Amino acid sequence: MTQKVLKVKDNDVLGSTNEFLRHLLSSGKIQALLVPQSIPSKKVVYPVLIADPKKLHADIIAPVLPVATATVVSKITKVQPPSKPIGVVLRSCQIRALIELVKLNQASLTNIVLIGVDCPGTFPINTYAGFPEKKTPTHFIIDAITKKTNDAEQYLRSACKVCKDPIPTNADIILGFYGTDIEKEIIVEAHSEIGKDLLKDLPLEDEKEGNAREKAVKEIREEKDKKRAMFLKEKEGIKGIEKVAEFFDKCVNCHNCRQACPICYCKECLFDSSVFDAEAYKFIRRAENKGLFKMPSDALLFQLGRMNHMILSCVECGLCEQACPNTIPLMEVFIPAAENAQKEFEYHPGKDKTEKVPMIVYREDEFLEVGEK
Amino acid sequence: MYILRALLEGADGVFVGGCHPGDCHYIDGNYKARRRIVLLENILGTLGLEKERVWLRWISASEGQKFADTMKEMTESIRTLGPNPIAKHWNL
Ligand code: SF4
Ligand code: SF4
Repeated sequence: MTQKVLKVKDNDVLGSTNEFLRHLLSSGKIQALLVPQSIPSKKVVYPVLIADPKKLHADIIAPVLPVATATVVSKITKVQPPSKPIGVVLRSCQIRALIELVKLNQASLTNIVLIGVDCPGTFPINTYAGFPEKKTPTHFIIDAITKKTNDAEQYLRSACKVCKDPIPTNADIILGFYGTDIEKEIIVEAHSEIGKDLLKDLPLEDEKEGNAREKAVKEIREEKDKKRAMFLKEKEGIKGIEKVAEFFDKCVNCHNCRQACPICYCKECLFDSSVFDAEAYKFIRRAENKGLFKMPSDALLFQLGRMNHMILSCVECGLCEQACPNTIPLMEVFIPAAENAQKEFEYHPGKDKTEKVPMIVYREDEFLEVGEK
Repeated sequence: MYILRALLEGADGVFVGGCHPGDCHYIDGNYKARRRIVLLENILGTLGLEKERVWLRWISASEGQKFADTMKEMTESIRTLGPNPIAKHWNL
């Protein structure tokens, strides 16, 4: 790893990061950049694919995640990966999701340069679009990073409050906001050969002595771990059919959560297929079975079925919860389920792209007690 | 999926049978099935839904007696658990 710093001029964090990204795009070594950039109304920041450096006005700090960026990268690379490198700016949860998609053969990292950014968390898309404070959400969150205020916490999405790891791993280049005063300088790390090569010719300065970055990263990880552990403890109570049924009682089976999830990539989801179509007499038979049944039916079957299909790869990005029209706090169930299932299989989604997803591999000498007795 | 559907429809127990590990006609189907059941039970466990109602046992086609014994054992065990509380819930 090599560490450098990007000097910030006049406290203008976005201006300086954009200058850095423009240099990168003009270097001739990459043909396009996928960056978070405001649309003209300024209400939302989307992943925007930029070919012309003059058109680049990114906001890599904006605390909003309208869609899964990992899914966008899958779209760009799945049919045929680019022939020359593209740089993609991603938060840690989206890098994790992208690595899962690569393992599931839904995306390629060929000629993809991963540029990870420290994530201070994101606000729900509607909070971001109609932000009630005087400052912009970006400046609000910069104040939170520089510890001038604690107020951003109240606006964070619940998934971000208890984020597994806000510091990117597996990136070629990391833009670090922690362990520095980002209004003065931003940390730029290269974690791979291509990362090093790209940074070589950019106007960066060598790192100063000290281990402030390391210490800050450790601190923020510990703080998030603590919050996540507390969350898991608090949510232990959602157990038993009474509570589980009540938890999902506003679920209208619209499948928006699945649509928003980076891991739910199936084009033909079983739950949208004709498998559930049936003759009238079968509906009547089901009604006769319990005496009555609610329609649309099978919302809980969908939730449990989806969980069975994807929970081992769940990166806890919370996009399912953000997409739910009826504001069901899905993370309260998905985080505990992901924690327990991933522990059982000692699997860490997004950690290692050479690792196989657990449901396609097995060992003959595991779970020996299962099926015996 | 089919196991879940049976449980949510109110079945008191679901039995999944397979040939002994190493003996699968489809080579590794039962090793993979074993992982699937472990995952399903794990999720049911997280949500406090009774995973004891799902039985996976390895019984080959020639083990008629073992099949009969296992069925008796399962019936007994489910009887002590009582009826599936999900059966009352029509609003799932
Ligand atoms: S289930 Fe929800 S939290 Fe998990 S990866 Fe999908 S969208 Fe993200
Ligand atoms: S988005 Fe919400 S209401 Fe729609 S299926 Fe998912 S949990 Fe149910």
